[in-house]
Amino acid sequence: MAPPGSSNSIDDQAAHWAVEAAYGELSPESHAELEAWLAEDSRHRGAFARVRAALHVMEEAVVDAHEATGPSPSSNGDNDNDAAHGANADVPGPLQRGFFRWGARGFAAGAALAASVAAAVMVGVPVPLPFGRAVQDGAGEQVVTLKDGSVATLRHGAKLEVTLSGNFRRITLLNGEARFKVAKDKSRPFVVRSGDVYAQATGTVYSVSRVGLTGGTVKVTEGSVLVWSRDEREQAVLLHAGDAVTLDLGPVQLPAPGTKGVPSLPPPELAQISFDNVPIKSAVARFNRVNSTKIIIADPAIGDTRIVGLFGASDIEQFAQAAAVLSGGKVEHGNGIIVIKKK
Amino acid sequence: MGDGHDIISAWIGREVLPHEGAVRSWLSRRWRNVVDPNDVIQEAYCRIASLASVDHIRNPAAYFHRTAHAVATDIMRRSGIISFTSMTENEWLNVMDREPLADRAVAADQDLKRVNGLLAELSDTCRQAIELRRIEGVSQREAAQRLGVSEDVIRNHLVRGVQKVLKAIAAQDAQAHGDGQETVEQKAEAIGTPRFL
Repeated sequence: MAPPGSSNSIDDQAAHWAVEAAYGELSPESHAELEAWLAEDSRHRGAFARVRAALHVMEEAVVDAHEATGPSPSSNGDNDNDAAHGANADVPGPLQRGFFRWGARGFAAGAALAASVAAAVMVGVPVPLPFGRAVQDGAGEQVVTLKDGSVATLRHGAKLEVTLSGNFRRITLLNGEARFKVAKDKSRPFVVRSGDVYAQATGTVYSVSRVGLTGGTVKVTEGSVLVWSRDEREQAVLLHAGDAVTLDLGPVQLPAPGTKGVPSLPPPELAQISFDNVPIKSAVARFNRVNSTKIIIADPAIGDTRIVGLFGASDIEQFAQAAAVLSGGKVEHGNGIIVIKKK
Repeated sequence: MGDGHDIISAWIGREVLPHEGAVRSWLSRRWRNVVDPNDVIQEAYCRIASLASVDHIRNPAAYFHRTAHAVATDIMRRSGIISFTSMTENEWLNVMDREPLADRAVAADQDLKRVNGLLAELSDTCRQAIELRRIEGVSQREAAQRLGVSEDVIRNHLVRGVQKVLKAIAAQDAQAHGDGQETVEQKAEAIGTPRFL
């Protein structure tokens, strides 16, 4: 049977299926039919992914337009507060917000809530008095000097939780936005956590702002900062001055908020391998030098394909998967070896 | 199709789709008679969509281009055509990677304007159906009742809407990037030092 609203080009079929999957209630039969259609041809899967992406763009545009113009009774007060505190300037445009739709909305509301409470700073466990001094300036910014000499500038009612110990400096941003001028101390990595997003530096200037319940935006002014989410430190991204990233995995997988005990941090030093347009064969050689598991490339064409990315040096599996996907190959595991071969 | 898929989908919409026009025009300019650009594009999306994570991709445009390039090479190899990619690759990389970030930012801004302009083109039914579903979370059946049309009508409006979005996004870059590397490189010179990602 033809897909709903049958038509012949793959793109058209994909459009019908994507809409049906997102909006209709797929019966088990249609679901099986969709699966079969997808399994039939990689071009079907590609066209389907493409339409789904466009569907996202369209929904974002409509929902954002609705939010911008639609008077929603519960948000009136929020808007006033936002404007008063200049939070609007920092809310990115509809597309930049991208898939953080819900997160972004939460962010606006969060900033507004925080605005009614004066900028407050909570103190973490080991060090009772983390501040040398606190200065409030006219613009609603608060500048605090942490005990290690780092300086935090709090905006939009930012709230911090600071824990300084002998081998790490851990800051949790509970609300708003904070800019950090980190005192150099290689032995104690300075890690800022916003929801499930972590940013680590040893001596640099960067800012972190809350996005929704679980997300954060990290902007780097000086030096470089390692950013990752949740427990995916192996996949951290290294940001340099001028770079910014927003991560929000959404609240869905979040365990009950606020029930975090002592979040355990992985060991600070992390070897990473970054590739900028390097043939896979050279990339493999680098991985093989530092890992006991070796990658073998079974097809020269795969070795010549170029790859871009940043990988944990020990995460040979993730690298092999990415290389295989990029080159259209597949991964097979042997005794202490990973083979990348043609499908 | 859980959250991971949604994140990848959204990422593709934001970071990859806007570059489709450029990739497509390059494919048809260089390889029109050798590979079908449509096949290459679809296969490239398939590979990108199968990624478990996109966190390691710092330059999505370059990634998309390189994936398309790899797909095209594969298709040629599979069909026994002698590869001439080594010849074209340098030129290809020059075109794609030397575009300064500032320029990309401008392009992204234009995308935004275009998509916002596109909103005007979406039918009321399409917009309302999206609002009912994504903001109020009502079922398709209830949406149909509220809008006083059949579910089929809603579906058709949505399909047409998404096709318009695709058309607008795919068409834009072919236009913006003009007809080749000269344009891009001139732009790069005008704006300043090219920056590598």
